[in-house]
Amino acid sequence: MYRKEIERASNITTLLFANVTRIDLADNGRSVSQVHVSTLAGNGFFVSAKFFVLATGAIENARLLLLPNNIQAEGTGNQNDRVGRFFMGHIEMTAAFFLPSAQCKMQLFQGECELGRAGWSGETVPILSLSSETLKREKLLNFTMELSTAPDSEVPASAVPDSDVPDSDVPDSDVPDRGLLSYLREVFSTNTEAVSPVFRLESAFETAPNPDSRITLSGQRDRFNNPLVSVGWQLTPLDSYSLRRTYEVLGHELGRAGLGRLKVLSVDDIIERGDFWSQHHHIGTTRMHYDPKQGVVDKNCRVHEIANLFLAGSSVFPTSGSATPTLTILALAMRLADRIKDSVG
Amino acid sequence: MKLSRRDVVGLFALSVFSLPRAGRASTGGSGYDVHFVISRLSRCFHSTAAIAGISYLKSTPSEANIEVLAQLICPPWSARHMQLAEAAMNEVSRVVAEWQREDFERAHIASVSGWMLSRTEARICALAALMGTPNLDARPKSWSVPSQTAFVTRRNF
Repeated sequence: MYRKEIERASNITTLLFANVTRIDLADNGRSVSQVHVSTLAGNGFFVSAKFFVLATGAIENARLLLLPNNIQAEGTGNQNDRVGRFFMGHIEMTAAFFLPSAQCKMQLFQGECELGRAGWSGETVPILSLSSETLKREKLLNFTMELSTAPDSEVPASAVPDSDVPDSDVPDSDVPDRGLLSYLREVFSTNTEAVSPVFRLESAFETAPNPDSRITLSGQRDRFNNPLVSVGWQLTPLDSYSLRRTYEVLGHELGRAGLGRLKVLSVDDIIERGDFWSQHHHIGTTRMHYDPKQGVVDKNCRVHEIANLFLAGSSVFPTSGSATPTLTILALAMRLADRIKDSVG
Repeated sequence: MKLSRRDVVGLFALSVFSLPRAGRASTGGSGYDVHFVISRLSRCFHSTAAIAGISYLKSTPSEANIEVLAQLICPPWSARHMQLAEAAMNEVSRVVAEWQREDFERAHIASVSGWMLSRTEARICALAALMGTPNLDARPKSWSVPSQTAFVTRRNF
């Protein structure tokens, strides 16, 4: 995005295919003296500077800090064992379907808007969420939902909840889902309206900060003989509770307002099956905290107790939210740049 | 447990008015006539309601009884009972719709095959399932349709 500006800038030198492979600290361990750089062709050199900014993403930022340096075997800025912890990402799943009533106007979620979203052509994407007051009152994690039409056949005929009715007593019918859709359509139908489609809710959820979700160095090595990472991402009971409760609140409100009915799948089953996907927003691992025992960088994105080492990117986020992290990353990067400019004077 | 005279009279009244009665339904008043309640509620039956009702009853078999359902939907001497008694026939759907809205507000929800229905809505569907709609034959034998109330079907109203 900024390639032309970088190329034109007289005070920027860009080295491509140059991989930082090690960080060296000054003898007192309080500042970075140089970084080792290697290329795949086998060349190597050092870079010295007044300030160093690591901006390699939440996984690589953590890896570079975890690598032993010339002073500290536990890695750089890791004296309190915080580097790599609190790894977070946005999980996405389809766990609910919505049948709107006739009074629920769904134009924003159909037709051209829907097509625009599919093509990422810059159209407005309608997003459904709960109000911040509700999230706070219910103690829920953030989420966003996109709605798109789905064929009836996509609505799973979820199992009827377990009951103590003997099998022989249960009617042998394929009652549940198509039938329930027929019923709800009859409830919501008007003589003038066409049959409403079902809407699939694709939800993106914040995950809670968890110290046990972490990046660690693995036994495997890269081409520079440095350890590769192992990603241990663990969802917590708070994550699944928040998902379940969010759908409950949404279903209650849609029903209360007469806007339709929500079908909710079992979130626990979805998680158990691993039937969700990541949005590849790697967040956390070097989180910001005023206390060095709780976080890796201070409020200025400076690594605690290392005077000239800064981190940029979503690795410093203390929580993940549910929105794409790019704008916050840019805002923090500009703030950091201003701070460094002020320091240089 | 010692009962006062007032308790005894109250219990007597409760037992008398709670019993299902054959014959013409009362039009309301101070008594609780289960047939009257059912006849009013049946105004809200949709032709496909039994489908949802069967699904609900599969997960809530303890409610597979017309009288039980009627009293759960519209408890004796409750505000709902009064509303139902006072509503004109063409207002019953509106009254029940308001009960459903209240259910959602109070989180009185039934998950029917994953669909979040108001508890009242699910019970009315169950009532439809028990009382004879196209899916009546799919009922398990254990579901209770008392002989006294078997005459209460939609076509009788």
